[in-house]
Amino acid sequence: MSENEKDMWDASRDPRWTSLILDSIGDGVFTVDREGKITSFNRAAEEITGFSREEAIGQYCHEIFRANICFEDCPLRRTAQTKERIVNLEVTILSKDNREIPISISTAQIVDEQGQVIGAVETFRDLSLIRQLQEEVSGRYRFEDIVSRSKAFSRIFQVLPDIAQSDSTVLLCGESGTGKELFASAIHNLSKRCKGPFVKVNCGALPETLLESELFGYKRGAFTGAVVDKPGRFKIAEGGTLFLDEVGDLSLGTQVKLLRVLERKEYEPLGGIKTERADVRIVAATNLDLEELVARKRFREDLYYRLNVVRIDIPPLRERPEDIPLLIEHFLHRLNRKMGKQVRRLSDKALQILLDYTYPGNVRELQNILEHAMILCKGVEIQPRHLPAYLTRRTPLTSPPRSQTLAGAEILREKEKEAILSVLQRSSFRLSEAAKDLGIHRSTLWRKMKRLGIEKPRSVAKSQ
Amino acid sequence: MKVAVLRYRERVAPRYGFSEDALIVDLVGNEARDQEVIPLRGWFPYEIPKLLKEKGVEVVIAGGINGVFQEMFRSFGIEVVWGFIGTPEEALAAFSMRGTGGWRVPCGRRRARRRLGQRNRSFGKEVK
Repeated sequence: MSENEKDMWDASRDPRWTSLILDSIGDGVFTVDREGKITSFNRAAEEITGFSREEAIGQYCHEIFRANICFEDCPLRRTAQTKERIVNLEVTILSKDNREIPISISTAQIVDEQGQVIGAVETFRDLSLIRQLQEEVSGRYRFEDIVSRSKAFSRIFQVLPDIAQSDSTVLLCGESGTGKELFASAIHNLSKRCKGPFVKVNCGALPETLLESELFGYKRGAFTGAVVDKPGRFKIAEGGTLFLDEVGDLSLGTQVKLLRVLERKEYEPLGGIKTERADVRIVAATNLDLEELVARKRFREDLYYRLNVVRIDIPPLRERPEDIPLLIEHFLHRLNRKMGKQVRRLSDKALQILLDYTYPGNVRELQNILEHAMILCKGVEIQPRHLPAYLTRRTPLTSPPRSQTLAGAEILREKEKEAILSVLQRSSFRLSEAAKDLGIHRSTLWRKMKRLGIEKPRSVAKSQ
Repeated sequence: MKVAVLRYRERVAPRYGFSEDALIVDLVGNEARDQEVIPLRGWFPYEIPKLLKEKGVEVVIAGGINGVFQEMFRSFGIEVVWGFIGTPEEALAAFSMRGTGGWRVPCGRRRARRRLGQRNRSFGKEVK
């Protein structure tokens, strides 16, 4: 054994060596004694759970770790009692600041030289990023994912579980970017149908003919190219929930067919002769004023009343400014995880700019602003220079304090128009680009332009 | 003032959704009067705020509790004090001293009075 190897061997017998190794690995590791009390807690465990080593050591593991499985079938106890090793079991823990964190755990017994069990060791890996990406792809969110501390949401929180438990049709009304899909998903997950599918259809994104076959499906030979039967969204959502987004954009023809499904719970696929039953709960959403559409004969009154059984109005972000800091914290956390960054806070000036802004694109716009800022921010604190230019340019010159901007609907309308115009000018009136910047859908931007009387300048229209 | 301590195995429940029962205590000054235990098993987490409101509870003491459920309690006019690790007695004593403000960290390294082993939950015990 060389001198160097001998030194390493001696060092490895020092208890501090083990601690150094444990602290240098990326997975959380902790050990418990026979009573289930924590005896060691590495650095990654501190970072994932939020509890410091000093707080954790000496406590019962289930009081620190707070995994859902701790209260049902403690894996460490099982391992200690049966010698059964648990590998990569997925559970959810509650961190010190009450965030639910998905992790995968593995356990093993610790035995002394005489073969006596003296405790157990648990290693765990943070799966937040994977789960977050899965959520974003699948669009499935839970009640617990709603972030709000505002009074406006209090009543919604109170009634949402009861609404979810019923099987009634729900109409979600709110501006673009307020989180209608999140609410629809939360209603599904709180309902008796939560084990069934949650299927989304954007009624505004498909032309009438396509939408009909998409909703009701078609039979082989129904039209040229229909070589096999295709189930519609109603069939796919069987036993679950069908979320009809932008329901105000439905054509009158499709509205009649949808009305029939809502009234009789039955439909016929295109080219089919057999009527099919629809065991589906409908949650519809719109950012349009349906009453106004009914008055203008663009939306059927009978369908409106069928959809408007239980109505939830989701307030826009400008009506609940107290939620802005909470949402900022939430998005910083999510984006840090997603982008592998360590941005901790916003400077006072940057925060003030965000608090004073009126968010025509609502929560989605706030999220996009923060994503923009985090891409540019190289340190731990977001500064005004990291924010999109349209915020910092307009704020000191034109944006009065929030109290004044909320003085009347007209002022608000002007502010919205001003914000949209500013983004449009910056993007040379390219709607897709401007909509992306605002965090709203292209068609929503188009509708807002129409409502606010914003027109594409002729010179731009010609050049495009 | 009626204070409810959410419990799990006779300690403050570390996670709201797994509370076994609620110990409701009528606090008069620092003195605890009239105690009542309400079983919570079988209730959905979002039903509990209403249940405790009907019992006249004004403050809930919890371990870990998700923000949405905190808001649900607040929407019923119930204050939530969270982050406690220990026994309900310790929690109530700390609450009497500090009230609802500024208490957001676990009480620290208090030793449990009862050992897991006494409750037949000891580790390393061979299962036959």
